[in-house]
Amino acid sequence: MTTLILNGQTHEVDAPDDMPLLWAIRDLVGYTGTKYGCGKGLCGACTVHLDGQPTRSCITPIAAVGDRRVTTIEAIGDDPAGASVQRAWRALDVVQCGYCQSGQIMAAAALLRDNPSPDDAAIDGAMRGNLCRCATYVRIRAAIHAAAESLGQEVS
Amino acid sequence: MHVLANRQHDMAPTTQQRLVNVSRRGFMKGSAGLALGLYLSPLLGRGGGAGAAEENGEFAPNAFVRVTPDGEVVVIAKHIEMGQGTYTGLATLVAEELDADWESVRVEGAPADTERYKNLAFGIQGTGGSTSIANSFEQMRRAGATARAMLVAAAAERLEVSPGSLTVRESRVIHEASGRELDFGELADAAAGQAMPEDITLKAPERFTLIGKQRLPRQDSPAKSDGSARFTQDVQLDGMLVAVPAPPPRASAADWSASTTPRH
Repeated sequence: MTTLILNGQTHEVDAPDDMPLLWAIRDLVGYTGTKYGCGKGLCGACTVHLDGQPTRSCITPIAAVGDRRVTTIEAIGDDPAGASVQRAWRALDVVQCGYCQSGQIMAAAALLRDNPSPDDAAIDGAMRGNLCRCATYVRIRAAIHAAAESLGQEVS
Repeated sequence: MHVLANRQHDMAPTTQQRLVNVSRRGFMKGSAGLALGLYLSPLLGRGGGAGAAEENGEFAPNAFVRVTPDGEVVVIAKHIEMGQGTYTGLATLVAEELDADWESVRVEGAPADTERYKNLAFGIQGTGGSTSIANSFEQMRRAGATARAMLVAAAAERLEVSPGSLTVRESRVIHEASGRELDFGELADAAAGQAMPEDITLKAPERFTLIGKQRLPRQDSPAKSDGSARFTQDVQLDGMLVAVPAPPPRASAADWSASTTPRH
């Protein structure tokens, strides 16, 4: 049994050490908001946070997680940066098919936690690993700016 | 999922579709409010959404529109939302003719049922070929307009005025002359008991307030922004097994043997 601290709760999962974290999250615990995209860490759809750091869960063996806290799209709204990103995503109707958007939001929330007012270059740099076949990139960038702005107003 | 995009688009004349007040026909015992659907009686009560709906006191989703006692307008979308915006588009058609408050409009995906929810361009339940709005345009508007007429009739009875003296705005039926008004939620139950209107007049396009006029927020944004949107990959069924294709190591490889024993 492996102990997983996921979205603030402890789960005992019966998983071999090399099981990708993504499988444990989706199939064993049942949080399906995180998506399987490429399975090779190339597309970003599976992005979760490990102690706040954006991480590709499809190529992270569960044994490598250790006691780090795992956060998924289902709980990112509890984080102020995550909540402001989600609000901006809704306000600007960023999504289209939506399949990559959980990963996009996780990457954006991590960016804003590190850099509360990123410029376009910082956004493009932080988000470049998250692909969107609907090509919602322009709205993603706009929504991150909007989220940064609202986050700044909350703080001040 | 772009099915049948190459099939001939022989649009069925939607005017021949007949709407009935399914709530009035007694299919929704113990439920309150107004539900409209196409008349397809042999299918009613058959599994799926209908049974589930009756159990929780809601309307059977043999319908394109449902008005609940708390004023929620539920649009049943017969087309799949895959990013093209069809949930929002179909809801717009209903809300336009219903004069519903957009804030109270919610969309539910239709269950699998060809007869009730077929694409009129294909004759089967399917989404593709840019047909969703085209084949639904009149059908959804008629569903909304019919619901509106019955809500107005219910309000006329309650206020003891003529239906013609009433106007509808943002889910409220208003008697301008006396300043009295009733909202959709208050009228849902009584509207369910109204006769189906014989003739439905759809709005002239110049009277549209939603169609082509406003950029309405996407109905699918919230669920796709918090991980709750359900994609095919997220469907979990009891005893479900996952099949993964095993590609051959080189081109033109032939099957040698296959095992049907599940492996985990």
